[in-house]
Amino acid sequence: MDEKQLVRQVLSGSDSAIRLLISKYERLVIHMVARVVSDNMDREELCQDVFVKVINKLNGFNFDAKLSTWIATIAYRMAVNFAKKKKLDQVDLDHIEFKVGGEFQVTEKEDMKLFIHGLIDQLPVSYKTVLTLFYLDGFSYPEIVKITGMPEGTVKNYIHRAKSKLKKIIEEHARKEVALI
Amino acid sequence: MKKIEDLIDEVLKTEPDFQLRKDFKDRVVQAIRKQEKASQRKLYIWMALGTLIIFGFGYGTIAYFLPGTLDSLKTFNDGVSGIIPLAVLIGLLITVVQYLDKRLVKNKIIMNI
Repeated sequence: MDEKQLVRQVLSGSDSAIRLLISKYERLVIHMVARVVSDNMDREELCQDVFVKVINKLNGFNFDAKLSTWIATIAYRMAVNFAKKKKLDQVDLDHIEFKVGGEFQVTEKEDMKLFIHGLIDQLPVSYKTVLTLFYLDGFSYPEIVKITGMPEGTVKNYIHRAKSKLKKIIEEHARKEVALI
Repeated sequence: MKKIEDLIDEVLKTEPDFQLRKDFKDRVVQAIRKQEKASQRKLYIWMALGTLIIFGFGYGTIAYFLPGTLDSLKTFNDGVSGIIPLAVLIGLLITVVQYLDKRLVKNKIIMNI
């Protein structure tokens, strides 16, 4: 079933079409929500709100973009609004004091991965969402611009700055670990 | 140091460790149907209120500007054993037309997307 058929079926009130739409795009919504929200109950609730909104607004979707881009836009806005409401994100990247607790061994790849995960979780919401859209969902720069409403320069800058910051912290921490050995 | 960059990329491409509950889809469908029912109820209330206001306004206008018409309506009412059932019938007709418009015409527009 292509996008147009699926949209038509959902708008005609088919429950199975709604379920199919959720199956097709749940990963996309989960990626966005799970990066921003840490509590599983909140995640579940926000994912539900996103899909309810998607289906309620579907008659306004005019196929000027891919359905995935349109759904990601709704998920992005709702996740950002949730973060603002819960005051999860008020600090700029340069002013974050990353907590680097939890020892890891530079030689252990899985430890390193866990450590990097911990750092990503501490990034500001706007950085996390842009990184998710680019790396996890595979959206192009113009698509991310459409989803987030940020200028393309800002999107590229966020990706570059976030990765540089992560790399810097990891390198510093790895050096300390090596010095201790 | 290339290794660190690759590792960052790898982590960024890793799926979050979170699954939706098995009944998630059912709950979304339920939430949508609940909203639809509530908005339909609201629509009917507004339609009933609108019909009442239109009748009230019409009656008031006629009573004020054309008082003679009401007398003839009263005569008509006596003649056709009550104008109120007629008014109710017109109101019902409007409701049915609105309902059919929503169900048939608007759905047809959706099907033509």
